[in-house]
Amino acid sequence: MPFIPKQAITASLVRNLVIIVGVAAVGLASTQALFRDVEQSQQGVFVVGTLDMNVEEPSGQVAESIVVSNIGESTSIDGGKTWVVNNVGSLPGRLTFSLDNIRNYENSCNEPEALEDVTCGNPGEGEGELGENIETTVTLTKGGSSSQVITASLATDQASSYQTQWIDNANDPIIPPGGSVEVTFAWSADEYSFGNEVQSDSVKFDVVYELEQVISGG
Amino acid sequence: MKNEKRSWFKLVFFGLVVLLASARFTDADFLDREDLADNIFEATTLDFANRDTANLTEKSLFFNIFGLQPTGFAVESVRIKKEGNLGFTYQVVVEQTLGNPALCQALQLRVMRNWQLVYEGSVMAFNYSGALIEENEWHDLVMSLGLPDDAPSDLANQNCGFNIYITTMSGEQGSPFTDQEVLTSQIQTGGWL
Repeated sequence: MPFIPKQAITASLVRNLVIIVGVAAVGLASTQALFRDVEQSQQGVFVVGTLDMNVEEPSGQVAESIVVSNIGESTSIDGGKTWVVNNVGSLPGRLTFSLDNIRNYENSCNEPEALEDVTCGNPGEGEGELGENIETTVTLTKGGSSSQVITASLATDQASSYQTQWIDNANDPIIPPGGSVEVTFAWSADEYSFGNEVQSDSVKFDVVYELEQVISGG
Repeated sequence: MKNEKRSWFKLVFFGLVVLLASARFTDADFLDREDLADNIFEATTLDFANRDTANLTEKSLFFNIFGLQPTGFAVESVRIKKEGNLGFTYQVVVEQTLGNPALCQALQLRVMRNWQLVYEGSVMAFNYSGALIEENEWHDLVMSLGLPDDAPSDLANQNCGFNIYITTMSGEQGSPFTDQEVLTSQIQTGGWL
């Protein structure tokens, strides 16, 4: 028994089949590339940039914190410390400087201090008067030119002032990869700026450097 | 049940909106931070005390004499003790606070330190200086106060009050810190012919 009955095979069916096969053949032929070449690169990699800085002494040694003791031994105090901030990553970064966590301690009172100062807690955080009597400046040196960008005391409420003045005055300090800047923190207090009220007082603070990636348009 | 599902959907949708809105302001930049912690400025101390040479308690009352006679005298002592960190020089001076100036001038003072006489004369002219440098160093001053043999009778039944001021002086470096202690004295003479 035939698969297709003989009476079903008509002339129009045959014609339609021929048209379908013909169109398919033309379509296949037109989408086939006659020539083909393949190149394979074996060295293509995605590289993520790095952002990294180090803060060191001008001598190249690891940066150390500031320790100034025996204030009151002489008429006045003054001094300074310079840090070199190096961008050792592969991306440019924007530098910010700030003082965080300023803490003024009373550290109790001896008799001469108690005569002038009624706050005598031990440690008496926030009660000390030393910080408000120490004036500081921050100078940024970049590309051989220096500019003073911050003037503030070490009073507890001055922390935000350091950040604000840096943003306002540091003129968007961007350090390119491999570049560096110098930041100098100087302090002073003259003989008329303090007396017995600061005896035994201390002020502690953290110096914070942040290097933020500079993005296009950012 | 349907309302509960809808509420959950709203909640999740709202959360997503908030998340996306806040994400707009976050940076995905790299950031490096270096902290130099515990920078410190600390002040020293300058302090001394007048102490009783027997029991070492603080002392502010010194001579307190009633009925003083010619040739009579009283003895007092004081320990000037350094109690702060800074060394210092000090000066001792006397000022009359009340009474008869002639009696105050007539009162004779002898001062010994380490049993060596360092002053002899009118109490009102007493002027002495010393230095306390080492930790917990002190000076013991022993003083006798009396009337001379030839004290005139018009000094009888008079009184004299004076203070002995012990004051730190700025050293070569000129510390802004100072301290002062006071010893208060009162003398009343008796009667004599």
